[in-house]
Amino acid sequence: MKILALRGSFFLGLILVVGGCTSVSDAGYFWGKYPYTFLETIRNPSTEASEKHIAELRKIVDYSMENGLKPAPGIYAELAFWLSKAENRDDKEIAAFFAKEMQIYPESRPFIERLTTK
Amino acid sequence: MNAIKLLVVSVLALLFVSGCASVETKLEAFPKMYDVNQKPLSIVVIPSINKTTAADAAELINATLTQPFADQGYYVLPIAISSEIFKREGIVAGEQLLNAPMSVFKKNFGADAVLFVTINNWEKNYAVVAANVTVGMSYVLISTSDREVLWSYEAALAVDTAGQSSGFIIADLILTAIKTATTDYVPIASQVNMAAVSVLPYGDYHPKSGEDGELEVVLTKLKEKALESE
Repeated sequence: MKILALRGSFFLGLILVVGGCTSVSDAGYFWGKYPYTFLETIRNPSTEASEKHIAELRKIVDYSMENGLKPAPGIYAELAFWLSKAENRDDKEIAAFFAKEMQIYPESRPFIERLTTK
Repeated sequence: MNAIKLLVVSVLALLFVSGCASVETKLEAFPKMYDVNQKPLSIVVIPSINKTTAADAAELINATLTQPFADQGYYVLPIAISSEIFKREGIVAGEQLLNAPMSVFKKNFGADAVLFVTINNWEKNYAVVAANVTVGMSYVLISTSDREVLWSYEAALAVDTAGQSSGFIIADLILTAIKTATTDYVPIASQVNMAAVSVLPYGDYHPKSGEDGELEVVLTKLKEKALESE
């Protein structure tokens, strides 16, 4: 019985993994609706467009964390960037996101350091 | 999406059938991308060079470029940030940077390579019962340490945007115009980017990095053609 239950949960897990992975790329990234919300910030720059993009970036980070994935290149840095332009900016949160980008993608350091010390 | 795939396959098939289409492996075509001393990891994307009259094309390309290059294993500096830096410096079009020393991007952005993207064609064609969007793009990746071309490719795509025929010509005309106007161009832009990126050797963040050198997928003609549009 135990074995059966174990088997059952294994297959259920497998289905969840396979099902959940449909939107994850070969490199292991989840992008959500990134191109759409980013495009909106280019086409119609507004507080609303930025907020929607920030919400999508947060969703991408959350989904990646929950599924043991590394957030895609630039996601943390972009989140910090858009938050730095928001009205009620939280400098600690911004610094933490920039730090996370540099931690998982060390090659981003020169760029981010230049950006944040300017 | 299947229709798009079919079209890409047909275009490729046509190129093969029409003969003299020489095909190279990724390693033969882009040897520097397999050399540990020259292989880039971080890429900065230059604002696209738009040779068409479609102003929205550049926006679409900007919004859809990061994903395919990152998925191929590279670190793409966030375009939202780099484009704002360029704007501050008065740079809005890639042409302004064609003659700039590439070392500037190494120094200021820490980037190993610079990606130039040219939009050669972005045409929306309307006809009575048919409509399509024809897209043509060139991509050139240049090293920031020695200005050498690391990778180049040209991609073209024709996507049918027409609706199903109703049997009435006037109704079809209206339907086709509406369909073309409301077409979601994000998948089309993504598709053309992916067509080019499919011949880009995997970068260090891809699980199969270094294992794709023997893939015989690079059409020499398209590799060379991309360099002409610069």
